[in-house]
Amino acid sequence: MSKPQALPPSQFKQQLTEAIPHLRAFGRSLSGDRDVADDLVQDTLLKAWAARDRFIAGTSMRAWTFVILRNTFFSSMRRKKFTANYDELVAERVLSAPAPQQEPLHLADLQRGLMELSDDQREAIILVGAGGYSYEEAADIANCAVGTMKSRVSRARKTLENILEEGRFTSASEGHDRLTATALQNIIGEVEKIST
Amino acid sequence: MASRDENKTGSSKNGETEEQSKDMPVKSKDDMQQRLGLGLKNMYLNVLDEPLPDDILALLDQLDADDEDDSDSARSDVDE
Repeated sequence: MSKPQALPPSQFKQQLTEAIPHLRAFGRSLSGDRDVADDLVQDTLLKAWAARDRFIAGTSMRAWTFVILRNTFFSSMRRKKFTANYDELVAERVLSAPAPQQEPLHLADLQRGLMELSDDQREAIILVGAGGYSYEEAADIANCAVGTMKSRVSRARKTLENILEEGRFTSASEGHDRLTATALQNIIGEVEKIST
Repeated sequence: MASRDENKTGSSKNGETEEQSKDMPVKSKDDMQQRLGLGLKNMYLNVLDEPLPDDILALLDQLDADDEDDSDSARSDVDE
């Protein structure tokens, strides 16, 4: 059996660089916070670079790094390093043009709605609904069955719809008084540990 | 079936055709799902359009210099 071919460092770095905007978008949707997301991305870049000999040429760099980012996020959530939040800086940004006689959908509401979902459902709807991944690709990234991914997306859509229609937000999406200083310090410490 | 122009991408493909006799709820449900889908995509695309922050660019520059880096935590998250 032949050994999978690794990419030369320059090509690896180029592909890694091209994945960064997507990593930022995925991380921000997942965490709901710009700074936390960018720290997640930095963490992911370091881990990907350290493990670059395990990346198989010809496979998707974006999907590979998404797995690293989501594993980092969820393992950190388990250790309470990251706290889900939403980004107040975008509170006034309007996402979609209003349909006739309808209120526009605000990014802040959408982000708060996402934070109301379970981690699994949030990840699913971000990958499929926002990132444009197929159910199969999203299932690979989330390490679950395709049927499970479909079910998560479906439930996430229904839940989000109900939340946004009814404005039914709970404390799950109110993270302003928690976050970021402590979490960021922890992340920075972790990144420094990795890079030394 | 009355006018269905607004439901082209809606619930019929999800097997909910019978429920569409309730005009208003279905229309608004489809519309909400469309807005939701558009909102999610725009949320994602907005970030793609942003310039990369300086600290991420600086980290990229450092990667080559950190060739020897081989931490355990990096390996575990890649493996999970």
